[in-house]
Amino acid sequence: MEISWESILGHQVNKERLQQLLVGDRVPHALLFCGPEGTGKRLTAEVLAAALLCAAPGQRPCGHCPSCQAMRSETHPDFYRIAPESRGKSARSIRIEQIRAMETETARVPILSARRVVLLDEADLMNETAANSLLKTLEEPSGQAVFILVSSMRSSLLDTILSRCTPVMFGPLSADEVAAALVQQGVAAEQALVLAALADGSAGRAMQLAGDGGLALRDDAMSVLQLLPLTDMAVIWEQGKRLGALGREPLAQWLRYFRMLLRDLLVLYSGGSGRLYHPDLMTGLASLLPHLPERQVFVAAAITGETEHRLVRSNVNNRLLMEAFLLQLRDLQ
Amino acid sequence: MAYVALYRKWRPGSFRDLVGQEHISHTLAHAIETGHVGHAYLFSGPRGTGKTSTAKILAKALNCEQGPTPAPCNVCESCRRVNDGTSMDVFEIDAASNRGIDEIRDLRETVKFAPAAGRWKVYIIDEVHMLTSEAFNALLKTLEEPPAQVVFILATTEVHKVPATIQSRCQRYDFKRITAADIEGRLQYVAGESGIQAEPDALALIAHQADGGMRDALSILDQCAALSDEIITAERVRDILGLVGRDWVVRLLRAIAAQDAAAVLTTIADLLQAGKDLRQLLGSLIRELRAVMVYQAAGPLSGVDSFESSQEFLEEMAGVFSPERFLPMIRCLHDALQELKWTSEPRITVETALLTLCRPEAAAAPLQPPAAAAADAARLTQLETRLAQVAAALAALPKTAPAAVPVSTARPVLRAAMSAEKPAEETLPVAVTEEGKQIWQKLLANLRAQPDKGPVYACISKGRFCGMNERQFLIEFSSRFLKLRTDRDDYRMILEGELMQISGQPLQLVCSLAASDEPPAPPRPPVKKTAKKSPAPQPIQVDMSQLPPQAQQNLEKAVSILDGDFITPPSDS
Repeated sequence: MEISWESILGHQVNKERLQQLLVGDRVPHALLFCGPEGTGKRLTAEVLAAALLCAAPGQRPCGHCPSCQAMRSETHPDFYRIAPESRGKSARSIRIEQIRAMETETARVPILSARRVVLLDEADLMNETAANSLLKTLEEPSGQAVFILVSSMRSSLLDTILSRCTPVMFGPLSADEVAAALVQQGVAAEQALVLAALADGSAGRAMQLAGDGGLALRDDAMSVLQLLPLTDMAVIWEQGKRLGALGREPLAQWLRYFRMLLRDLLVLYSGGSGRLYHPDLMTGLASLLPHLPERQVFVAAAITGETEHRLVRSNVNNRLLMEAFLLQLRDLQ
Repeated sequence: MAYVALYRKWRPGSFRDLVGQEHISHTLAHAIETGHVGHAYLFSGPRGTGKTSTAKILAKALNCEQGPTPAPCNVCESCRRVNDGTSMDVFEIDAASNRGIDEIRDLRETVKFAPAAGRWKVYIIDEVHMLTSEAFNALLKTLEEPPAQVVFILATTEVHKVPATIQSRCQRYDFKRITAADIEGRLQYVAGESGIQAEPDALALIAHQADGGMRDALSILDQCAALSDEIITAERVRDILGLVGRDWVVRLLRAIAAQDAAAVLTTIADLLQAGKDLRQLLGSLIRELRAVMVYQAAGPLSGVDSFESSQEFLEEMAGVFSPERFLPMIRCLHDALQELKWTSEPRITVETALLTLCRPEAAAAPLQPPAAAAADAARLTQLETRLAQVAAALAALPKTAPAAVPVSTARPVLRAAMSAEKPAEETLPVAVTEEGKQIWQKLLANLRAQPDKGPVYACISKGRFCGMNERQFLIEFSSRFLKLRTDRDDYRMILEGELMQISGQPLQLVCSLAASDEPPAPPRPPVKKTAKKSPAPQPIQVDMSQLPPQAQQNLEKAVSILDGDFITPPSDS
């Protein structure tokens, strides 16, 4: 993994603050990195972890000590990473077993460095038991450990977790920064600018868009939106079957796009066309306005949000969910 | 020694240091002095109010070498061991990690041994709400009658998850949220002791932001101290916490008041760019709206906390928003705040909510999915009412038809009513002629000859031919079911086809029920309901051609779905 402060795009203020804490050796034992997805929170957490584990004097991480080399090859014995796992068809989550395994590990004396660092990725996906079992450790770790929680949904964490962590806010990246990241990945400069506008300050999303068929899901969402008002039941069953077969993650993404398109419709209704997520679809969206009264768009947005909630937070049958979703859209009229 | 967070370093070590929970520290101190120490305590309250700290103080107080004393010395061997977490007699158990019945069994095994060094064995079970129900139940007996010299202290933030059987065995102490003033005082003390320089304003802001939790407050102070150069200023605190300044809120409210959606969107975009927390934005908006609402209702009140809003601004806003708008607005913001807990696109949630506020008429009653169902229900009731009206109209028609065709005539009548140019058919005379009888016999024979029409034959062979004219062919049944079955479109089509073949002219099949048959089936509930609802006991005359085209369509649809099976509503009078 990349372990230098320079590899982090933007977030100048946060970088300076963290380095300031490092120099004073005042890094709190529990940090929470929160902000939108794909803005570099995990990368920053990794670099900070490397810096905390690095023993070199002066600028940390130095990049060449044994600790840094181990970090780079992701084999550092004192670095512990927890990420949500999916079991079978159930929704991804961090489970209590993972937390317990981590607690056993971190209670031991560090091997290579002066302390241990635990990185909890997507901490909001901890289930309730897991989050509660972390509380005691998070407040007073039994060994020398620093916890870095990374989450794009701060508000879905427990109050008791939040009050134990020092939050570090990550804002969205500017379009220029996202474009620069894309160019680094080998995307043509012109295309990079277009994608950066679509990505809404998230480098992660921009890279996803730049990948194969990045816009396919969004265009698909647009095509379903154009089917409204749905009257033909055959279309509903057919689309429900097709969308249900997409798989959980793509479907969640699809719903997000659908919601963004609805939001763009609302923006068009309010006359502010300059702030669209999808300026390239502007004419298509504008042609939808006569079929969809503003009130219906508001309701459709609420329905989409509710559907996404069910998909992401509970174990639902995707096809049934999507059929119900389309039926609700039909009932808008 | 690595850096230790302020909230760990300054965990209160005696009842005197415990801030804002005097009602508890006083009671406990008194209990220790008089020797009336209970064997089980339950501490509940929000995060960061001192539950775990009080439990530890109590443990120290009981085992301190200076005696059981409300003021543990914090220097003796026993006190130090509790502070380090190495005491042989004080067990701090994390119930969230050890939540099963096996862990509780282990605990029960060790409970019976006498304390090793001190006077009391203290079990602090933290986050006790996470124990499984089996574990809770396994604990019950021990909790009720523990061996002498054992004290259980259960601590939790969610006391409603603790079973009543556990609660009733414990002395329960509810910890209050600590007031901002108390937090500020403690912050000043901690800052002074650890050599942190801070403006009083900054500390007040931190205390307010901590929202009743001392740990939050110290955590924020810690962070600000680490990131400020010399002295902590209010500006710096706001900056570090990503707080949404009042000017932003004012800007947004003005835009909403002017229904300027574009300005709202721009403001949100700017806020996000600055890395502000949308949750805080919604919270501030709600507080501000509340202040305006209070101002509008009661004018400037000194007793009501109006959140630093300037009087001019309140006046301006109170003039813009009508009183009835506040509640929907605040509710809308609250819903968005709830949604922020799980949504992956907080920006869209907030934007949609604020656009809703901007467009009160467009989103007047944002239909929720259940509300959509309610709309359906409304449509259905409307349809039912109309149906009842038509049925009533039918009942009111003069009974000119022969006695043999009482109920089933509903169908032709309705058809006639729907197409006004067709004359009412049942006025034609019917007669049982030889020709008719022949046709009837032929019809039966034809049907019997075709094996695939066996069911139809079985049905009508139970019927009795009772007359025909140029247009209609009447069959009377003694069984209601057979009549209904024959009246269905599929059988009717077969029969009318056969009749056409035999007689060479289009004949309409009319089924009727013999006069002396079983009592009519109870009326269908929906019709009954609406009939009861209709205020006028007199049947209502409805002329189909007078209805609007939409209503006519709906009615025709309803008739085709319900198969024209009308019944007369019972008279309520």
